[in-house]
Amino acid sequence: MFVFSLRNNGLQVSCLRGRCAFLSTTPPDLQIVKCRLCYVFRCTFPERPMTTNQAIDRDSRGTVFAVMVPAFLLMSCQGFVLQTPAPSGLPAEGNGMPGQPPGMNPGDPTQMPPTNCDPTSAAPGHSALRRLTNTEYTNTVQALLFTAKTPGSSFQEVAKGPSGFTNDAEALVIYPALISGYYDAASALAKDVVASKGVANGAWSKLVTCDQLQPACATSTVSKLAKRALRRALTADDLSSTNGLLAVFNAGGSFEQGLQDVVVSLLMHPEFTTIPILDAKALDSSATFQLDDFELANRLSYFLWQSMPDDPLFALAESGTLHEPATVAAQVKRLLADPKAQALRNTLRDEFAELSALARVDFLQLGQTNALRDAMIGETNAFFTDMLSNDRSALSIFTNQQSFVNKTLADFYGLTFPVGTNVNSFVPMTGDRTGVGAHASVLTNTAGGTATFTNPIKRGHWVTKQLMCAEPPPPPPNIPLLPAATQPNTTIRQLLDAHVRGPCSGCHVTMDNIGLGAENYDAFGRWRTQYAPNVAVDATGRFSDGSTFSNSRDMYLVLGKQPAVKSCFAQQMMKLALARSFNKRTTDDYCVATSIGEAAVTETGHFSDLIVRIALSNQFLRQSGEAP
Amino acid sequence: MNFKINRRGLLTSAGGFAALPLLEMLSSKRALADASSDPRRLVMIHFPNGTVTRQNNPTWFSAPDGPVTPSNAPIPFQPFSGNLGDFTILKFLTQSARQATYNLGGGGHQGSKPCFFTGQVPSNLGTNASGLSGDSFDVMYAKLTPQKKSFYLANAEQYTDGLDGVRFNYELSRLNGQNVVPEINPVRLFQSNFSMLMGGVPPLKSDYQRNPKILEVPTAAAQTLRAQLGKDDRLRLDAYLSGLGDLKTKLGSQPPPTTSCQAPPSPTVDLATTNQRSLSGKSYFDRMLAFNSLIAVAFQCDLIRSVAISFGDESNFVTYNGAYPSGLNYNGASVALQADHSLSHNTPIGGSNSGGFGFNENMTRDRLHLFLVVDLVNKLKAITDPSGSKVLDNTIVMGGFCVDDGQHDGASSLGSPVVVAGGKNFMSPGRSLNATNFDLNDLYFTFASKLGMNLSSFYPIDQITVNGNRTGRKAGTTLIPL
Repeated sequence: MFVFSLRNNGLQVSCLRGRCAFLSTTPPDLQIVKCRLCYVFRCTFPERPMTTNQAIDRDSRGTVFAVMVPAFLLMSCQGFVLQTPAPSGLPAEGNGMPGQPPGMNPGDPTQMPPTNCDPTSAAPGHSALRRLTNTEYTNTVQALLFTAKTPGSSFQEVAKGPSGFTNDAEALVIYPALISGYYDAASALAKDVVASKGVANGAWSKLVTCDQLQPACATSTVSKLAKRALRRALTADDLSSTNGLLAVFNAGGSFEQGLQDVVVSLLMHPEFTTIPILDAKALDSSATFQLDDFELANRLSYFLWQSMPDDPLFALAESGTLHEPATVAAQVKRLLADPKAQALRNTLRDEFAELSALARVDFLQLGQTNALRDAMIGETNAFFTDMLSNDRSALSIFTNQQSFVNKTLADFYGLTFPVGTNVNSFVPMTGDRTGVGAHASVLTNTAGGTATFTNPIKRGHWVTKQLMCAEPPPPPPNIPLLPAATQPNTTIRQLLDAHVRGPCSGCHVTMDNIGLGAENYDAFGRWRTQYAPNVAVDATGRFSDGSTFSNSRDMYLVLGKQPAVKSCFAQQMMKLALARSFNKRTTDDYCVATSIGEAAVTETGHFSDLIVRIALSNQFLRQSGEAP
Repeated sequence: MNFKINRRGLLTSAGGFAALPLLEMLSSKRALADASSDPRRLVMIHFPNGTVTRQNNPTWFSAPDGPVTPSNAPIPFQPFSGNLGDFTILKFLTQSARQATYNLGGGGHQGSKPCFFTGQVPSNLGTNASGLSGDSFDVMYAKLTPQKKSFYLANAEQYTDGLDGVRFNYELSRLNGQNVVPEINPVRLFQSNFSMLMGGVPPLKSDYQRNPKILEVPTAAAQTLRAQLGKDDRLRLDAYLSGLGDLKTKLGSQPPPTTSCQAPPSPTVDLATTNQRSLSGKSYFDRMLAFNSLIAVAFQCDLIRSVAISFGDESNFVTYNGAYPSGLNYNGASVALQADHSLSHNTPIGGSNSGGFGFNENMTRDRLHLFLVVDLVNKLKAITDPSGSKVLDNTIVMGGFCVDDGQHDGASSLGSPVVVAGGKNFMSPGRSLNATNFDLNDLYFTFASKLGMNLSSFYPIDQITVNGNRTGRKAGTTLIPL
């Protein structure tokens, strides 16, 4: 039998032939630690100390666990006592052992808010070769070929990767049908280019700017197009007339056919469809190196625009000055101010706030109108638009107390929409909600999908995952049903009470607490103070740091002041910027993110401050090599 | 197909057209008399998230052994009285692989699909590698067909990331050197597989054939790039190179246009609604019905003989959104707006739980799954093979679960239902069949026999010795009297 006493935190664990139990109650600030251990070891967590002979079977997980548990437990315990973790400081993703879902990596000592780390010396990590997302593909061909078509929408939709974003290299699988789809799209786009010949301001006129009867025109046209398509300086091999792009052109037989074939060939080129980072040190796993300026240009533009670099970025890359800190900062601000930055807004709306699913829900089936659905999403869209265009603090995502409403949403919220204002425009109005988490869109999306009841667990899960970067694991098998209500007017808080006292408490204490704290918002996010006559909503609660709240408005206010959410948002933006999840073998990524969060996600800061700090970090400017 | 070639040969040797009417007649008589020369097909359909079948409420297994009739039809089948003669309901079929998968944790969800399609236990649920050592059964059969091709059609899937990737890991099956990747878009399936029926060489093919450098230059560039990448990045680029190779093969070797089959209309399912998860019911049903239409044409034109279908992933958030006939509601219980996984997990017998979902809703959900199967069955019934036999009568359509009931109530569960439809030319559907003494692997072994796969057992003996009993496949597989 192994008995572990976890230093400084009061947790005692006993394991006997693969059967583990926690022998002591868990301090509030270790609930998530407990949750993670619970999931992996299938232990239960008594509120009263247990004796070892009360140890609970681990749900028949298989003999391998009997061997692994002690070792992992040691690692876990060691990891957890290295720091004094706040419950909200744990990163979301992880896959520490077989069968373990994202959000779980209890043996990883890096999943703590790092302290005493030096972000300037942090190892940059490795962003894997990745293909363009479908949106990036569309945006890039639109910029490259001056088309309005959206071929990326015909590719199979990409789900979020472990980082929580769709640009994650892990999510962007390459498969034969995709290559076939690339070819179909390339062929159609190339034909469109030729078909636009003679059309004023058509693609042909922008791609062919010389007299095609002149011998040099082919080379200059192909060269100019290839440089933009491959997004780097060209080599002689690229343009070779024997086995390069000019060979493709010449085999076409005519200028038109040649250019058409070159377009297809470029759109099938791996350096068009993927975003490689290359260096002489790239094959040395112990080395780090700086991105060249073209790679940096790509990283910036695909981060903030989800599209290829524009001419000014290319020019700076070509001059070799883009990497200079002042230039990077200036370019970040320029890109953020550009209309193309709406791509970043869309990502915040659809992937950070996770509203892409809501847009497909038929509200008529819920007894509401689709105009209301669009208004809800429109509010979040307007909020992020406002934050980006006015360069507000990223902290406003959590603390902003203004709603953005059109007439439909104002009526729904019970606000008086200003007379004389376009009923379809979204105007800021002060209401009874704080931060994006209190937008009707998010509240509806996380309410459980029905018109009649909320789902506090789901709401709490969203907050812990998206705002606190502390996603709990999925429920284990054999979850019992909540006890049936035995009395009329039983509230959801009363039903969920079993969670905080039983074996589910490890995960549910935090989730349920937050979810119940949002109970002043009904299934559609409308403010309410009672469920039914004489059945009051109780949305009071407390966070593990002792801060309390008396209703949902207060809950989101308190939440917005949690240090963890600042670090979390910096983490989220870094993952998006790097198109990867954090390196779980070191503290480097977390160190940098925490540092940036503390410095830039502040009441007086600007959103661009956060992005500039990310763009100037080691993680963004540099890359670690990979074993050959 | 063969008889047409013979006919041409006969015509040539006859030296004139005068014999055509007679030969036509003879051919027809010969064909009608011999359905055994018709191609045999397989459709495997995975239902996600389990269902309710317990000792105190056997639902799917309520009919006594023997013919299924409208008066004894199990609840899920009751709306489909016109199709009861098409289905055999296998009662209490043992699923040893499912049970072993369940023991790995996660309620069995993670391994449900690979377990169902392969009959194996995915030993490693933490990665896409999954520990599976063989092809899925549909791919096993596809490899033995002339086309060497399988449709793998999926609805509401998320197979590329994290945990859901694990839930989808049977895609490790390989056909023609490529991973079998699910297709979720009927329009793309149409474009990539039915163009040869359009009456001409696809224009996209001519581009590459006219100027092969179009793809040779990117291929060479990928090889150059590959040399500059580390191990993991190189693997990603290998997939790209592999895809380019596959594309070149495909563009260079498309079959000549077929004149005996009519191209179906392109599906009208909106390309933009192909989201895998959080899918609305409308697009969920539209997509599946469109797939069914394409399968029917593909079978009739003998473009393919093996199809696997996944109705959703094991945790999917598909909501049915009212986009189904209300007559399917059991006891009036609508499942509009409810997620499939949530429905399956909230199934107290005899009523609704605190979440609002109950047994009735779960039965409605099962009917929705069957509704889509019945749609396919009816489409296969409406078309004929060269012999004049209905395509359905030469086709095995099987559907089932590979996870226990929604609450994973293994103690009282009677097992995961499996139904088999079609195949009247070599099976006797329309029955409720006690399969207590058989395993899912026996069923696949039986299918293999019906499909002419000539297997001595479902899998070689070495497949079952890995980690003791983990594969679920067993030697000495026996035939189920289908």
